[in-house]
Amino acid sequence: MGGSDLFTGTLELLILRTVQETPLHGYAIGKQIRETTSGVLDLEEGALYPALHRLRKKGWLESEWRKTTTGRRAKFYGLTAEGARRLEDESERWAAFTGAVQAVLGRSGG
Amino acid sequence: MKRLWDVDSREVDEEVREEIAFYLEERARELEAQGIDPKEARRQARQAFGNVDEVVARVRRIDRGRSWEEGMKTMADGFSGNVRYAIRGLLRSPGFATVAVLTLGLGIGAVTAIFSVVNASLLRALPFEDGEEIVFLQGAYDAPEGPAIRGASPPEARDWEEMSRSFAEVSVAGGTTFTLTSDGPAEVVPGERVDEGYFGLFRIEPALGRTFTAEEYRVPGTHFVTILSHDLWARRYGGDPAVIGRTVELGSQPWTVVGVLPQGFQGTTLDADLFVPLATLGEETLASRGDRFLGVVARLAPGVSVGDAQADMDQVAARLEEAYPDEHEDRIALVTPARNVYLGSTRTLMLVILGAAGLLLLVAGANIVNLLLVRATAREAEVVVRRALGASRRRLLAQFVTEGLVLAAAGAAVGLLLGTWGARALTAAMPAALLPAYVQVRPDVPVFLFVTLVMTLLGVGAGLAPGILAARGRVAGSLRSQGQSNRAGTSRLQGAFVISEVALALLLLVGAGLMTRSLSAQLGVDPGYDHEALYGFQLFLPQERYDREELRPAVDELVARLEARPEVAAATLMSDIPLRSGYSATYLWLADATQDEDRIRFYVHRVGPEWFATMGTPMVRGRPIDATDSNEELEVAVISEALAARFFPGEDPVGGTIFLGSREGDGHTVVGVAADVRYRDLTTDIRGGFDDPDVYVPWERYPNRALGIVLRPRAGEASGLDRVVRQIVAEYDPLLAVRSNGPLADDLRGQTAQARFGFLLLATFSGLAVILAVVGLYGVLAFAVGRRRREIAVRMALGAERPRVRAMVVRQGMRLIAGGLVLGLGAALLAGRTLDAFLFGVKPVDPVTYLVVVGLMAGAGALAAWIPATRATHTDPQRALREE
Repeated sequence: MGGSDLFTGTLELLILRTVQETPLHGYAIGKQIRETTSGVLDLEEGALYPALHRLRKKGWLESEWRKTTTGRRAKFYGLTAEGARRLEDESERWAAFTGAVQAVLGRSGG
Repeated sequence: MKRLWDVDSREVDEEVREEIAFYLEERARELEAQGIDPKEARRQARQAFGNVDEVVARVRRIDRGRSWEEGMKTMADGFSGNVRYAIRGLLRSPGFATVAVLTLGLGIGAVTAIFSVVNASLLRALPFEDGEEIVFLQGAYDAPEGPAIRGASPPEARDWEEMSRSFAEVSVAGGTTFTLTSDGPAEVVPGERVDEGYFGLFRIEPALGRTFTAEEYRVPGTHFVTILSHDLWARRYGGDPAVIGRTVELGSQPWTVVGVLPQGFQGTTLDADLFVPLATLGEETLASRGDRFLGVVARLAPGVSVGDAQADMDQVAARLEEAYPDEHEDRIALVTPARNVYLGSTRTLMLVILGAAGLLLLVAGANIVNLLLVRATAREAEVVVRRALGASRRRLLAQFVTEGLVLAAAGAAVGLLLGTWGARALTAAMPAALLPAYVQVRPDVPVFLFVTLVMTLLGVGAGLAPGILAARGRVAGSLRSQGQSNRAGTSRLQGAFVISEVALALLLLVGAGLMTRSLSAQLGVDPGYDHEALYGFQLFLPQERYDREELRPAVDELVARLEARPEVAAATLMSDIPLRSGYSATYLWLADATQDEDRIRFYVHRVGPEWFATMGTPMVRGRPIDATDSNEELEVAVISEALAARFFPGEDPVGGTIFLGSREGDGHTVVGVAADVRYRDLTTDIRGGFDDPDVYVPWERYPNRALGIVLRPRAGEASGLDRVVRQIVAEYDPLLAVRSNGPLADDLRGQTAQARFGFLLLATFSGLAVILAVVGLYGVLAFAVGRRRREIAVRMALGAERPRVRAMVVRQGMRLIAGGLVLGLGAALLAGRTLDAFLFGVKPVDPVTYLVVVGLMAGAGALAAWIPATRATHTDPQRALREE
């Protein structure tokens, strides 16, 4: 189970970050994550949907069916107030984590 | 409901499928835009996405919440994952794991061993059907210092049955012994005289033949019928069914066997092999109201409590006292559950010792928590990273608790082995007097349940402390400051655990110390005779074979034959051997007594000439009873020092007259005062009036049939005399059976059995607890020193002297010890009273014990602090500083 912590936590954080400014549909969220992480996080794309639904269940995201610019029906996900707060917390945690990793790497390297 | 649910979930699925379909289309379009042909683009999009059905199912689970089964499955998966993780982690540090498992095993083992005994003796069923309803009605003399149990007379027992309203059944069981003289060598067989209703009360149907008839119970002195125990039947009669109707000789008298009881039932005495109707004693004995030699047993009526029954018997006793003021003065009947009768004060002792084992387990548990805390601190980085990676607090906590449980399970396995072995060793070492025969100690379901419960509590407890600490750590802020705030909490917690370990160890030490003092006081009691050298046995000369006139010449002859043996230096006879049963008490009056009420209760001992010399009982004044006293007209007596001190203060009783048994007549002239002999126990204060004093008269003047003979061997061990005695007695009269034979030292050992047992266990437990506490203290200090290397290095670099650094660490240790000592002393003062009933010659608040124990604990603690302190002074500042 240990390995999936990184994945789940990170993916959720990335999703929250992606919809921070404006609600997006699943495809757009996935695309943006792929592009911003330049494919480093080689995720199974399907994992996006369980993550989205989990975040919605937690109340951090809200969803709504809307028309896309191309006139197709799609479900858009946006940040709730709670989600915005969590994003801030999670970002701090993330910073702490990267700090920790860097500290660990730095120590063992020196 | 079901259908609605299905529709719902189908709708959800449709929505998700629509979302995914949109995604896949968009993704394929994106790939097409990169120049891939439409069909291939769709294939790649699908491949990158993964299994659509699986994703839909996952989303469905998330949206709907998990079903109970799925939840359980996830939990089980999580648990087994946690277990694997915990085992891997423990295997990575085998040293830690070994110490932890052994520590827990020790604690669990101790508790399991004691619990096994408690379970077997207190919880498991008595050897009677619905045994919890069985009570004994104990006739007692209501003395000012507490009731003294004496027994009931036949008329008294009948009155109790008729006048009481609390019992479904009441019957009589008078323990006795018979000498079985037919079908083999003469053998003393324990038996019971029983009255109507006895077998029904115990719901016993005979295995063979019948029980007694109403007529056999009711007509005195005519029907000599007996029932055998299954044991005796199998042992002496080879399990022959033809035994029914056969005649056997008890004390050379013919009795008819009418029945054999089922296996496992041996009467209220738990060892009876022969049962006879009470009525066979004859009318005269049955009519005597003052002859209290019977036990009375009853089954509580449905819904009646022991307390109700006691209140009932109190009113019965009051009415009897009114009706028979002489025979029933201050007589009461105690209603005591059978189990309490069989276990006596062992019951309380077992519970106290179980408590002590529990304290040891707590110390072991505290040590484990401390070890786990140290480990958790060492794994700080791992915990912080896992938290950062999104592991929930719950999951972290579950991980720690699982680790605690895995350790506890391993500890429980070790503990169960140790405990089973320990319980066996314990019962083997336990003197027979402490546990009734029906108690069979073996691991059974309650023991396993108990161990499982202990294991779970320990595991969860040991995992929670470090788990909570780790989970509480906020990940905000830098790793370093996070680490340090967590460390402060850890070290406070560790300190608290060490303090409680020291306190618990001290509590156990105080208990052990008090038991030691009490035991040494008991071993120091002078029994008033040369117990180490002497050997004794009892004989019964039945009326059918020895007339009253024949008693003296017979016994003289027997004693002479014994003395003629080269192994025997001297032999003497007596009515009762010290510390073996057979005492009798009556009343005496002093010369200046003016009324019957001035009577003094005392124990009378009929002794042969040379008794005082053979026993080694010194005379304090005057002369002993000698051979001339049996023939002279003058009636003489020797009184005990206690009697002299209490009733002749400041006078010389020698030459005075006392009236034994009756105020009438010439009385007995006191010819001597003998040192006190401990006849009934070692500890009751006779001088203080808590037991009645002793008087000796010449056996020849009052010969009796149940007598004791004591030998002083010429050389070697007293126990070597068994063979000689049996041979001489058999030569003299093959129908006499030697009973209660053995060295007199054994009786003394029996008296101190409980004290030695309590001492042994408390000493073991407290020793282990001190070792664990010291190891715990050492561990915490060593860990603290390790963590403060840098600080210590800086101090030393700045010129701190080694002694100062050492003192700093030792001070830290001593602070913990001092805290533990204060706490432990408080607890000991409160808990000491539970031991009060088992202490002799020492008060629960014994300054000597407390001083020694505190000194011991402080010394051991200082030692534990010294090693890490010395190591701290060897810190190399340069290296320590470079490391960080």
